[in-house]
Amino acid sequence: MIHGILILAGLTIKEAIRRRVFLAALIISALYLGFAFLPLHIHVGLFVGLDLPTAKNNTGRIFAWLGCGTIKFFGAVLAVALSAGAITSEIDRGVLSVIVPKPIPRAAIYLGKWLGINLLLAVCVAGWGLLLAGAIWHQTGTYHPRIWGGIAAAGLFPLLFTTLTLCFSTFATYALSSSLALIAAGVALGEDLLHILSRWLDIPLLETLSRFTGYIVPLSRMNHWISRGLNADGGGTSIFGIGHGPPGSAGFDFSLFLARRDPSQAATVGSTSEADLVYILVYMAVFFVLGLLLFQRRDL
Amino acid sequence: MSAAIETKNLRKEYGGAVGRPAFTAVQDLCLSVPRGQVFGLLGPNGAGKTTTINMLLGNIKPTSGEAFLLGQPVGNQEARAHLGFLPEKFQFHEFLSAEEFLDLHGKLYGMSKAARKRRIPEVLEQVGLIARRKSRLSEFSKGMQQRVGLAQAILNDPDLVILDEPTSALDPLGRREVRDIVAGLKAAGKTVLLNSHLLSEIEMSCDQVAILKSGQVIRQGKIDDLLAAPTIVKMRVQAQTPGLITALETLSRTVEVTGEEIAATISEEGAISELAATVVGHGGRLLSLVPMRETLEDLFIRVVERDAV
Repeated sequence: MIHGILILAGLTIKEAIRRRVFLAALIISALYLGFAFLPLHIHVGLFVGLDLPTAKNNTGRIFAWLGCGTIKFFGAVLAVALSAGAITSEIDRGVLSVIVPKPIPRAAIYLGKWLGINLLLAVCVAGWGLLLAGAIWHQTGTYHPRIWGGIAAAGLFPLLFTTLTLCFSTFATYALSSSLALIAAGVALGEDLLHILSRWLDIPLLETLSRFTGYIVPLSRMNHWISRGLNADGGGTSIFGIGHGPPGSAGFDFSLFLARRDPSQAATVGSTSEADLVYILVYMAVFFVLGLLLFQRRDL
Repeated sequence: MSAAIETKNLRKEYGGAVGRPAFTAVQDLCLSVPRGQVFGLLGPNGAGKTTTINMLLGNIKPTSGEAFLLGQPVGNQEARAHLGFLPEKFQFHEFLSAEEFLDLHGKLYGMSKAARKRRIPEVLEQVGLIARRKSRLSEFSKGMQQRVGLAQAILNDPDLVILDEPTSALDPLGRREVRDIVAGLKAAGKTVLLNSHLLSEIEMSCDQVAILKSGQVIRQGKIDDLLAAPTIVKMRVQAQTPGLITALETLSRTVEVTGEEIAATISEEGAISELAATVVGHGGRLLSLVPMRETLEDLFIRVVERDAV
């Protein structure tokens, strides 16, 4: 079983490389290199009137936040692109017809593909994370280990989208699987939208709907974990907290930063709990098992 | 020893959901393929041949019934290790070279590195691709891909090889090579299940055939037993006399004479030698005598069309 999984994981990685996934990843990497060399702190210092250390610190915050956002976005896009055609499309094209009759359990094919795609994405996320941390170091002159908390949480996005889309691909074509993944992302966006609308319009029902939507696709929970990762403990101590930031800087409280964007977010980040993480992991496990069962039971 | 392939009332139905009638692709199929034989699976399009093969491979789950490969229930890993399969519709990982492709499948078969190193050049030689072993599959023609697919099917030296339309993309030379490979497998005591629309190839290669129609076996047996005995004998005779024709008419049901050509319809195979003796006995010069044997194609058309009426 393990032997079969590893062979198929290797094959999936080789195939993805042949499909120039790493080239796409390299192009995305240019974004982080851009972060490193953008003279943003000068801009901030000149036009907002902050001193240079504070401006640099602000730049670090923005890059950390934007960087994790781009990692989760591009990671999810790559996950959908690689997973959507992994099962049904390969069956339709006749790719699996010579692999399935081999003396390996059918589950090994599914597990191998899931593992291969996720290993590849893990390499991409780690590479992008390194570039991001390097870019922040280059801009601020300080290494911030807490950035890895945010990057790790951002890595949940490709993991979730691989699991979800691979499950869809057991019964749907490439186009339909990727569309379903997009719909899932759209539903998740609805959580924040409904949340904002409920506060704005003061309609409690919308808040209930928002919470319900959050259970259907828990992307907001994962977003909160990125924020929590970038902060030390979900609210108080920041990755650029006092003692870690440049001398004279006020440190960076990510909750406050978010609170300026959306006052409701600060409380949400603060209330992020381990139970949310457990829910995310259980959610992925359910779709993983569902996909496995569907693939085991379907006719090829 | 158990049969290489055995099915018991194997059945596959599709549909049957709300408001839709069920379609039966295979109906209570009972098939027994003895070990060491080349078995042909025939049938018109939609007869259920590919569905049957897919059920044997475990790709499709039967609605009811049982199937066994090499004495083991379908899906058994041990039996699969001794199975080779070339599908009708395939697309290989084209970024791999022929050698890498076979190495991948060797690994999936669980073959050791040493076994793969020994066996890969052997099978590439057998299918005539040894010179292209380093070429990527994307550079291969459809026929070459079919050859490398065949190499993949025999890589593990299987006891049972299932070939679904193995020559559909091959030229006449390629077809002859496939026939030679099938003959070689038979000589080595392997069992081959051959699904092909090229009836002449089935006739040349197979010991037994089963003809499927609408998911049912309508004929099954040894080819010699299934084909009708020769009934028409065509002769070229010079120095014909009226007495010769009268004598031939007493031995045959009908006699048609067109110049030197005489076509005699006989009732049994034993009459052929009597026809020759009669021609010579009446002073005729017998230049040729050809019993017109029924071909597998004639049989196929006969049984499929008759059942359609």
